[in-house]
Amino acid sequence: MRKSQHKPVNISLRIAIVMAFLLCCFVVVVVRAFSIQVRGAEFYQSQGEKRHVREVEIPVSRGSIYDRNGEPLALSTAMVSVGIVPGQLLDQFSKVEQLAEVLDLDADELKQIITSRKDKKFLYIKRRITPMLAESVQALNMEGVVFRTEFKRYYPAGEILANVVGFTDVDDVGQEGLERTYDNWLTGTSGKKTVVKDLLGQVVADIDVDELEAAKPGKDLHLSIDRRLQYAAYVELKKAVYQHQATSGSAVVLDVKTGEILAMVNQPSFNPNGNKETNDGLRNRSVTDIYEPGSVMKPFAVVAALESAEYTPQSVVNTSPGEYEVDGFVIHDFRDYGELSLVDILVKSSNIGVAKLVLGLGKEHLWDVYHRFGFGQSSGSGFMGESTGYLPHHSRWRTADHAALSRGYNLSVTTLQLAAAYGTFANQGRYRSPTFIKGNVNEDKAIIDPMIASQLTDMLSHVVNDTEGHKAFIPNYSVAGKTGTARIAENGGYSDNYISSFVGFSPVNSPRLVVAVSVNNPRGEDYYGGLVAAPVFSEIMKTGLRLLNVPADQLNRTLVDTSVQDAGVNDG
Amino acid sequence: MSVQHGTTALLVLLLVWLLVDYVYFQNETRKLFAATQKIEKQKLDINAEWARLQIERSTLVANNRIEQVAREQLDMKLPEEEQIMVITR
Repeated sequence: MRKSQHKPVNISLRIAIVMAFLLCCFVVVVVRAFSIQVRGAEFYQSQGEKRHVREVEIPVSRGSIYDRNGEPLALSTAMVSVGIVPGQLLDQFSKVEQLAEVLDLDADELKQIITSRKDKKFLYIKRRITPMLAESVQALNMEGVVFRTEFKRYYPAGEILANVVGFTDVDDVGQEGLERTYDNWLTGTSGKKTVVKDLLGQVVADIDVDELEAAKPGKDLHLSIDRRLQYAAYVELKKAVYQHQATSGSAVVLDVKTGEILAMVNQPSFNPNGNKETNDGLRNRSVTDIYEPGSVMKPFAVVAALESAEYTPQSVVNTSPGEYEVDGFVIHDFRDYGELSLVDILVKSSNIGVAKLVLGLGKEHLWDVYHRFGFGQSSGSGFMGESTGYLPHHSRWRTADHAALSRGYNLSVTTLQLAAAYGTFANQGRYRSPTFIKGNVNEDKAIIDPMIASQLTDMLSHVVNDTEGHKAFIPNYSVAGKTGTARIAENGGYSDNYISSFVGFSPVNSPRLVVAVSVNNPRGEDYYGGLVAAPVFSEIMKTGLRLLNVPADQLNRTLVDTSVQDAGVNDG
Repeated sequence: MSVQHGTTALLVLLLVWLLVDYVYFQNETRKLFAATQKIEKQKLDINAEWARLQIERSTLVANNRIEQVAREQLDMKLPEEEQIMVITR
C-alpha cells in the first residue's frame, strides 16, 4: 500500500458539492414535471388527443316522400361536397389548377379565394357532386382537401306535383309545401361518434361503441296523392289554362270516404329539380289563393232555405222580371226565368232565386251554414301557408251583403275548401277535414241533416242532367255538381276578369270522388264555368273513376251487350 | 428446485402467454374493425345505388313517358265511347 503524496482531500466537502448538484437537478426535474403534469395537463392532453381521437359526424339522409302506391316523389341521394383548408393549399398551386379543372371551377378565382381567405379553417368550394366525380378528385391525393357526405333532393314527379311537395334549400331544410310542413318528420338528426385515427387520417377504432349521439335518419312520408291521377289532372288543367289563356288554375280531387287528397294540381308550376326562380309557380294555389267563388256557393244558400223548413226542393220562387232590387243594388239574372223551383234555381243558377230565399231567413242562419261548411276557417289539412279564406261576421252584413253572400260574393274561399264542403253533400252531411297523408283519416262530424244532404245531392245531379250537353257530363256515370263564374274584384270594384269554377262529385248514389276545378282569368272567348272548368272536371273525374275501378252506375242501355251470354246459348 | 422456483416459472410463462394473447386479440380487433368499416362503406354504396335505381325507375315509369310510348310506339289509344261494351250479368 502506498501512501498519497498529495494534500489530504476533504471528502465530506466533495460529497456535499455532488449532493447539492444532484439536488438541483432533482428540483429542476420535479418543477418541470409539475408544470407539465399538473399545470399544463389539460393542454397537453387535448393536444395529444387531437392527434388521435376525433369526433366524427355520422351523416343521415332526409326521409323520402312517396305517393299512396309507393311511387317515389322526393328522394335523397348521397352526394359528396368538396371543401378546402386554404392554409394547407398555399404551397401547392399546381395541384390547385388540376383540382379546379376536375371540378370545372375557374383556377384563378380559386387561387384568389385561397390567398384571400388563408386564415379560414374550412370552406366549401363545390357542393353535391356525384360520388364518381368525387373519386377523381380523391385521386389527386391533395392535402387540405376535405370531403363530406351531403344529400341531394330529387323529385321524380317534377312539375306535376312541384308546388304541393315543395322543395328544400341547399342545407336540406324544407322551404315550401309539404317539405316545409313536415320538415321535422322528414329531417334526421346526424349522429356523432368518437374514433381513433392513425397518422394518415384513417379511422382505426371506434372508442365509443354506444356513439355519443345516435344517428336518427329522417322518417319517410307516405302521401295520399295518387301519382297517376295527379298526372292526368295536371295534364287536363294545363291544357285548359293554355287553351283559354288563363293566368292560373287549380284542381283538387278528394276521396269522399276518407277525405284523402288524391290529386292537387296548380298552374303555373315549376321544375323542382332546376333552379326555382319563377316565384309565380311556387305557391300551392289550391290552398293558398283565395277568391270570391260565385255561383258554386248557391247550394249552401239552398241548404239554409231547406233547414228553415219553410221550403222543400219543389217550393216555387218567382224570379220575374229578371231584375230585383235589394237595398239600392239591382240583382240580375241571365234572363227572366219566371217561377222556379229550388231545383231549378240551382239548375239555372238564378241570382234572384237564391237572394229571395236567403233574405227571408236571418243573416245569422246563412252565416252559420257557411261557417259549418268550413268557410272562413282552415280546412284542417295542416298544409303550411294554408289560407283560411274570409267570411265576414253576420253582425257586419248589410242587406245587400246578405244577398251578395247568397250568390258567392263578399266572401273568399280556397279551392280545397270548396272541395271539402261539397264532400259533405257526398258524405251524408258529414264534414271531414282533408288530409295529405295516406291513411291519416280525420274524424268527420255531422253538420247538416243527412236528409238535406241527399236532397242537395239530388238537386245537384239535376244541374248536370237537365242541361243538354253539359260539359261536366261523364258517360256511364251520374254526376252532381255546380258551375261558378265570378267576377274578380279589383281596385274596389268588379272587373271584367272572371274565375270559372266547377265543383262536383260522382257517382251520385254512392259518391267516391269530389273534384273542384277553378280557372283564373280565362282571356279567350269562353269564360263561363260551364265551358272552361266543367270539361276539366269531366276529364279528371273520368280518369279518377277508371283508376279507382268505380263501377258505372248509369249505363247507357244501348251500350250493354248481353249477346256474349246469348251467343253461348244459341251455339249450344 | 424448490416450490417457489416452480411457481415463479409458471407465473412468468402465464404472463408471457397473456401478453402474446393481448397482442393477438388487439390485432384481431383491428382486423374486424377494418372489416366493419368496409361493410359500412358497402352499405353506403348500396344505399346510393338503390336511390339511383329508384330514380332511374321512376324516370322510366313517368306517366308522360308511358303515355308517349303507348301512343307513338305501340300505337295505343283510349277506346272511344262507342267502342266500350259493358257485360251485364
